[in-house]
Amino acid sequence: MPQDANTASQGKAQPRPKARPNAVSWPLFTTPQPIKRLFDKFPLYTYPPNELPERTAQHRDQNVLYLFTGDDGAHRGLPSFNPGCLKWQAYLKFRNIPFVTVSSNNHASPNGALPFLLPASSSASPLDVPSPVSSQRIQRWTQDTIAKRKGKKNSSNLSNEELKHEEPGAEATPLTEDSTRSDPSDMRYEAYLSLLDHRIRNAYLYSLYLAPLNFNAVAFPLYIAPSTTNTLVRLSLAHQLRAAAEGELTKQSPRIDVEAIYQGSDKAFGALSELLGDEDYYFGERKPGLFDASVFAYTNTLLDEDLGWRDFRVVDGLRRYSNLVEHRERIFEAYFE
Amino acid sequence: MPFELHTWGPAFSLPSIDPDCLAAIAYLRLTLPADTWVLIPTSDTSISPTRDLPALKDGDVIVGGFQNIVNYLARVLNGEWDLDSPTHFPSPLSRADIVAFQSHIPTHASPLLSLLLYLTPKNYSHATRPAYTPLLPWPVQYIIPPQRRAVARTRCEGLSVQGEELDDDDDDEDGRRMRGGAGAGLGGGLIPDALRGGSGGATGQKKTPTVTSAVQTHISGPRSVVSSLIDTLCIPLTTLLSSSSSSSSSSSSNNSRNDKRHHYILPPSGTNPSTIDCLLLAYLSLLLIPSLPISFPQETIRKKYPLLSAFVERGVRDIYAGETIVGEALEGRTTEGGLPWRKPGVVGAKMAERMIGGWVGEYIPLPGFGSGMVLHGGEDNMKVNGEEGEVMPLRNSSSKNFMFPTVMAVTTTLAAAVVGVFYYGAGVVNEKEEKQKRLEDMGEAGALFKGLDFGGGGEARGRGGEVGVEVDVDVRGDGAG
Repeated sequence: MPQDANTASQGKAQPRPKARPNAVSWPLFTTPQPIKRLFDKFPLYTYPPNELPERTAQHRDQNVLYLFTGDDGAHRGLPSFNPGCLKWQAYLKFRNIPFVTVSSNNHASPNGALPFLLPASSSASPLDVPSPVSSQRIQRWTQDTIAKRKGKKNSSNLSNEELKHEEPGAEATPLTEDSTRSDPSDMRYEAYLSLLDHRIRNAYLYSLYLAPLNFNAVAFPLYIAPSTTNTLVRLSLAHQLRAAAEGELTKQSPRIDVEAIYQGSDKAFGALSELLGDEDYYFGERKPGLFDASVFAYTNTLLDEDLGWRDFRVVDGLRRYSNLVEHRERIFEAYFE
Repeated sequence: MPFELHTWGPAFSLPSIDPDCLAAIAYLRLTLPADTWVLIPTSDTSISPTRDLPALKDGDVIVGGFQNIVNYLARVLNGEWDLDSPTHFPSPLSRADIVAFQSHIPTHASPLLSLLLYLTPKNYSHATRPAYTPLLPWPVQYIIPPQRRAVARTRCEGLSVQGEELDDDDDDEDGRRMRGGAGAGLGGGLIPDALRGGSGGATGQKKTPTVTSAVQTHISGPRSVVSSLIDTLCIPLTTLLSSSSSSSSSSSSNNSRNDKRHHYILPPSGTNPSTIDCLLLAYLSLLLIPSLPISFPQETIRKKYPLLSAFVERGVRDIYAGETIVGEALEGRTTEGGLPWRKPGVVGAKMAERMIGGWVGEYIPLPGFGSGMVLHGGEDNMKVNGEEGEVMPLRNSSSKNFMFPTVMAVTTTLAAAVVGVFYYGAGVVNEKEEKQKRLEDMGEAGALFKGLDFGGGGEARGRGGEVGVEVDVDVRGDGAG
């Protein structure tokens, strides 16, 4: 028995040095010279590396905003047809941040929702990509970018020309948009924003996805037709979209009270019109801010005749307030033409 | 015939457990003469055309939902009962403010309420669920609270905080708040709770070890989210309230604090109530009044927004007539100057039967009705009493919550059946009974599985017994060696 143990331990210990990778003592595992010479000739030809796919990283030196828009609209920088995307698109334009738009969809986004922004990359390596900025953080990112730009200018004394690029309200804006300032206009900021984010959004959701006329005329060609040509997939996508809208609207009450939703949006437009008054932009600013962007996001989408609305219930509610219509036109002409 | 206001029943010493019902109670209290309406604590949502309480019954007409009730009352008497009418608020901007804050308060307060009352597990199991118990008849009290909790969960979907995260003990919170108190003086409401420890240390009033404060800040992550939710809700409201109270105290007599007259939120004078007062009182009283195991949001509001908590105290005293005693209210006992309680017409087992009956209609999807949950047209949010008996099949957002247990039950049953088939089959083999049990002999479930190939079934059925024997022998061999 002890012998057995001995041999066993030897048997275990022995193969170990042989198994070392660099050991060439055992001729069985060395490559025969002819074969080695043959394989030394490989690779016979090395192809240059493949190009990256056409749609990726085209504008690595620019800020890229991914949003819902047509391919054509993306090239020409047209306003997005999705209010959530248009809000940030307009905001970036108001703040003079240069960017290009790329048509995309929710599946491309890191957090599952559009829009998101891919900041310009300064290095040449395709592996060194700045992390994307989700829509909740675009405002912070913008303020940081503006602050950085300003810091650079102060240190290196840039020309007057570039200083002109600097927007006049840049310093005031973070304060305006910070809800902690105790000022009557700011007390209204949050409250009126809730009108947009809830009353008007609910009416918009209902009228786009659940009102039968509009769904087929507007939502289908914008959101579903571009993704696929397969009828079954289209049906399923349509169902998903409508179910999502329905789920969103039943959060507050178990049944969707259509008339109450429309009345709510009519009243909300009235209140927003009253808040704007005779001013050019909200809260008496000289330049439009995030609040103007939020209003414009809905008014432009609703008043865009190219979208082909069929059910005009919400649109009519908006058209009654001429200063809101003018506000939309003012922004459109100044920033999107 | 008086107006009947049907609401969720009283709880936490407040007249209702639901903020919209509380708002409707306040609205009726402020508009209608005392003897023209009664308050019925029910839980039967089937009475309402929107399937949600509050519901106002005026003779044959029933209106559901706070906003619809307000609109209806404004219409019934040519604007005499309209709190927000132009005669009360001649400035168009203040009428616009009313619209904005009507949306602001529910939008920002209902996620907070959902978190605090329903999604924080300690509060839910120690306060909210027990509060529902006296309101609901026997089997229903096990159904409604989880259902309402599920609704609360959908309302909090977008938040970056989970109710469970708030559920730690209060001791360390107390310590944190002590430190926060030091910074509160100079920073006021502007400094989030999470940063307060640092600010206190910086001024040298109360030094905290850096590591501890860092850990505390880390722990209070979800709490600082809650704190910023509170700020978003309360800062505009407290600004509005202070502007109205300052202008009114300058215009009215100097001892406005002891003034019997209520102090309302909207400028210019604060003497006219509006629907904002109703909503503010409703949502904030439900946030502040309940005594809960996890109470730091309430204390944050009380500390940072004393104007608002004073407003709530006055409102509960004047509009809700002080503390509501749940038992008396449910019995329909009213006191002089109190709320006009009346016992619901249908109680106990009958109410349960009616509610469950309503659900059977609601949760069984019948083909051909399309989207039954959508109410179309102007008059649909009211219904005429005669149609009440008609059961409308409805799809409902919470039907998922009912489908899930059903699906689970069916799955479990099927799984049990499968296990049973195998077990029973193996037993037959082990006992070496000659009688071959076939799947067809096992009734319906057997017939169902006949088509599937389970090794022992299908084409291999003939050798099934032998396979089993081999396995048996192998196992024994292992054990013996």
